[in-house]
Amino acid sequence: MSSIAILVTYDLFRLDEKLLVDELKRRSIEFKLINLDSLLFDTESTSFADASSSDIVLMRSVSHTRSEMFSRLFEELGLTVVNSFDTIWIGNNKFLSLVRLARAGVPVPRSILAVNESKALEGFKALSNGSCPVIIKPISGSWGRMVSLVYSDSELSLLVKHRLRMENPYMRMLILQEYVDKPGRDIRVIVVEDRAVAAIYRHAPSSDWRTNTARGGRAEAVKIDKELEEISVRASKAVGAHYAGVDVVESKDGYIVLEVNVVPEFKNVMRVTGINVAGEIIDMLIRLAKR
Amino acid sequence: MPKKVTCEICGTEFDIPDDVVDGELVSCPTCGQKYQVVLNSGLVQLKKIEVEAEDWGE
Repeated sequence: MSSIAILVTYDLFRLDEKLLVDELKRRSIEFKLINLDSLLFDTESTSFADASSSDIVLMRSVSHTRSEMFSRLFEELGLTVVNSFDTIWIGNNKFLSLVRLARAGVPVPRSILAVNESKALEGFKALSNGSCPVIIKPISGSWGRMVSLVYSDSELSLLVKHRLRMENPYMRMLILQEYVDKPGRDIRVIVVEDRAVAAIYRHAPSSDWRTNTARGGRAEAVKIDKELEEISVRASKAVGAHYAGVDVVESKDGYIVLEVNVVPEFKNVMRVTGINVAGEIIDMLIRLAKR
Repeated sequence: MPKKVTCEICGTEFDIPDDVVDGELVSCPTCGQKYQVVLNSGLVQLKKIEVEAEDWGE
């Protein structure tokens, strides 16, 4: 048994978490599985789950709010969390991520933030150039939910009116984004530290323009070239991630990064490529714990 | 002994294995409805997953 302990925190225990736990077992690394649903925090307790400061928390919560809250809370208690609160917070906010990526020299689609209808219309005009569609999406969310294509001022106006009436204030912060013409597919790259370890093409289902595998798209393995590796690693580093799922599209001007997922799902990448992504993530955690 | 549960959408009975983890994602083998397993003092309960109502993502 190793002296390192890894705390795997989760709420929904998916195949991704199962694969990670299998790799921990295979390496005889001590670990604790912590369902965030079962936690009770007390201001009078100064430690957490008998954890020592050398232990690493792997944050696998599927909920944005919880991954932010608990990663920050564990850090407050002196634990190292992967990914860190800062990374999770930036990663969960699509607009902040895009700004961070752009400032790090990573090509991203031109994007505009608007919180009211008139500014949204102004942004639409700036992006649409009178012809192409514009993407409208909230600053947070995943798996292609609430992501829409808008073709006209009147369509935009109607959509924005609906969004601004939504109960969740995050849904009322709108990103207007240039539509990047892509060859019916995008690329999910899993980056661990300085390496793009595996990648898949995600083909859009015939009934949808979005390529998220959660929407039923087909996947196939990608042979990672130097440029793809470089851009993906730079994107992951820009948000300070130890590991990430970087979504990339092939535009006519080269690779463009759409987003960086900081609590990424990787089971499809593993299944399609046969590369042991979970093992790479666990090895990275062990290296971090030994530092 | 695996525990038998019933899908509240289509009524299919399916097994939850003994080594199930609290919070585990399971799907009905017939209609595909997803559930989260809730373990409460050895009792297996299913919580229907409605992703649209959650702040879930990657």
